[in-house]
Amino acid sequence: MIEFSAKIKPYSVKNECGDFYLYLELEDYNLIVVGDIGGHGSFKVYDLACQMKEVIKKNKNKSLNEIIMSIHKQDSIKNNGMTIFIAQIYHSSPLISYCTVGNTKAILYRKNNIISLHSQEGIVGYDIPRTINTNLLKVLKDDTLVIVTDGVSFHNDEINNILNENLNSEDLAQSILNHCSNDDDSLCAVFKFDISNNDFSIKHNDNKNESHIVHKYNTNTNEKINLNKSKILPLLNTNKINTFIGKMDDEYLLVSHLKLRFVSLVIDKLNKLFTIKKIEYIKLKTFLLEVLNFTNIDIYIKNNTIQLYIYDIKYVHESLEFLFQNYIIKDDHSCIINISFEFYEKVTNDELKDIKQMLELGLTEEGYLKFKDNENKLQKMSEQARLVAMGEMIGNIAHQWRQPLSVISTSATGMLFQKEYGLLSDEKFEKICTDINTNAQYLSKTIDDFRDFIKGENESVKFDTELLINKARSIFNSSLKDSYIELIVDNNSNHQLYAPLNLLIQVLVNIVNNAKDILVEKSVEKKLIFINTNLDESNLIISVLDNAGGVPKKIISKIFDAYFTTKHQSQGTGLGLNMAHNIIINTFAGKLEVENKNYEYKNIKYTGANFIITIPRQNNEN
Amino acid sequence: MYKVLLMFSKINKNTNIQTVLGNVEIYLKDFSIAKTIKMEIKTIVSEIIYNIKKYTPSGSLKLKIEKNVLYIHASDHGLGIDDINMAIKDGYSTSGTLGLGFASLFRLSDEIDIQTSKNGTTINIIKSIV
Repeated sequence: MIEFSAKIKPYSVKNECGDFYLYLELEDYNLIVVGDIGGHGSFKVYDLACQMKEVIKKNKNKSLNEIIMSIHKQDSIKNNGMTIFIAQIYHSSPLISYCTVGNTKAILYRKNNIISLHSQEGIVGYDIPRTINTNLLKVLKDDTLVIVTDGVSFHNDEINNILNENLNSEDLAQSILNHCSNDDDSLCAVFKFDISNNDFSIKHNDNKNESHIVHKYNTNTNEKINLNKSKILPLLNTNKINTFIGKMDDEYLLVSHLKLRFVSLVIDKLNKLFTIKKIEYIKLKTFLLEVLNFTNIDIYIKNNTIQLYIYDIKYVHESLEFLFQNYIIKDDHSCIINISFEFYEKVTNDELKDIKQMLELGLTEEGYLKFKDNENKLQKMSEQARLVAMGEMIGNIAHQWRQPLSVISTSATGMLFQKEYGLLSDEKFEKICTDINTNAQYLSKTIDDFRDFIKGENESVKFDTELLINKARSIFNSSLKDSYIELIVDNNSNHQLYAPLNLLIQVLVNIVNNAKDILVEKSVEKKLIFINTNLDESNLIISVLDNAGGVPKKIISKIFDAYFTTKHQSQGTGLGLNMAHNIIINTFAGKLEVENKNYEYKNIKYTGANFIITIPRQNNEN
Repeated sequence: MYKVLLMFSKINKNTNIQTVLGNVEIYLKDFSIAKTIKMEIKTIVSEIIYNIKKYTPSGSLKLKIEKNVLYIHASDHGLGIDDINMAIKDGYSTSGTLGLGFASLFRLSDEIDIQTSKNGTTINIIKSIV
């Protein structure tokens, strides 16, 4: 049940009062109008009020807006003007729609709070707003709606006390008028919404004839609910579901912590992937530049959507609404903005990786191409290095095998020869066969040694320096022998290591091979190579010394550079020492140096290159 | 994990209602909201979006949850609600029926305040999520 009462307190007498109200019962709603004609204390204003009531009655079925317009068009109202509150109170729902023009005031008292209803400035008949707003409001149980003309003025505290008294609508209207009216016609209309049980009927306490008219409306209307299919269908259309409001997965991350100086680069990059309109382009760029002054930004890309993840949006959140279509802000002030584009290039993972890397490195396209080129070169180099290692291995295998193969071959042909001439005794036959077998075993062992090495297992294993030297020795021993090089090993410290053994063998083989090549090239008469191991407090030091006269001063600084070689092209690739150098630095965190050394061996003075491998014990011991 | 504070979506003729609803779903995920209330919120939102998309050139939707109260603010640049009485009549349901249509906004929201004129419409809805 909705209770309605209205009280008027004229400035002078009733028929000189310009404040009026109108209560009309219509099919779907009741129309309530509270009006105040400009001026007071004159029969003319009362007359105008009556005229306007008639105009409203005539137009009662029109919309609120149209009713106001029809009053506005009256010539008679032009001199005085009028303020108006006009509302429709619906029969079947707890709703009111209303318009207010001018200083007629409407407040809603809800749960001890006073809510002012919307109003627009203006005077009907004289100067009305260009567009009149219609407002819709859902009323709740126990809401009280109070409408007063400007003859009633109050502070919220004051009226709060009156409203708190829980008076009925009639007493409330009277009480407000008693307390708050000033020197003018004053009117107070009150609706009390006691709408429990969805009873929206209105009880009108008409103070004119003191009779209570009760309008009852059936709320259980049999009206069919219009389930308009066209309204449901779009909701069921599941095509193109792309919800990105959450943060995208890391795999779509394009750039993390975007740097200010890369903003242009990033946007240019994005512009290539998406067809970004010029205005969007500028907008995005300006936004990024601005925001980066305060916080960090990550950028993600997925299909047609760019996602900006802003770590802290506090300082700039006001500009978001203007700039972006879709965004969310979290309570840690982080913000996710999604920008979708209709046209976009399908980005492959490789391309995305390229762009990502480019931004990580902070390179321009040109710089990045150079970088890629270099990277390819490096890749090629490491492949070449492997080939070189293989080549050297095969050379070493050849050396190792020559001897036993010739033994086998000689034994076999010798046996044939002896057999032909009847000289082959049983003992001889047995001995030769044993020789062949021994040498074949040796070949087999060589293969095992090399296979272990070539397999290139770079796993760390436990080993001591003796094992290291023996393994390396088994690889280059034969080729040293072939070149008449004497190898002198002085393993001072048989030290335990836990490191990638194969790599260290490779280093040793490379250095020894290099020394061998120089010794052969220089045709030194007595060729010597020394391998020494030493231990100091923090390092294991392995040195390889030759007696080939040392490295010429002008090339000593370039000796570890890639592709640097003094050898004939057919022989050297210039990668052996470079590779050794890289392995020692990258894998062992150590260093490989070279110096020229004068020394004495067996009372003879020599000069040679001394390669010193320094391996920190800390990193390479278990 | 931080909660989403606010969700904003601009809506125009090209808006995919399902996408925005998906976003609302994700937005609401952070809060423990009963299924029925969630359903009601989504009905409200879809009704708003549908109306903006169908009847106006563009508009926007903002959702914010504070102290277990959901605030929905929607505005558009359309020509306003032409016939409010019709809009309200259409499908208002007092019992538990589906009650689609514009009027469902009134039924499903705790508090609603709509301002409409030929310059556009703004809707403010308050709905408790507990």
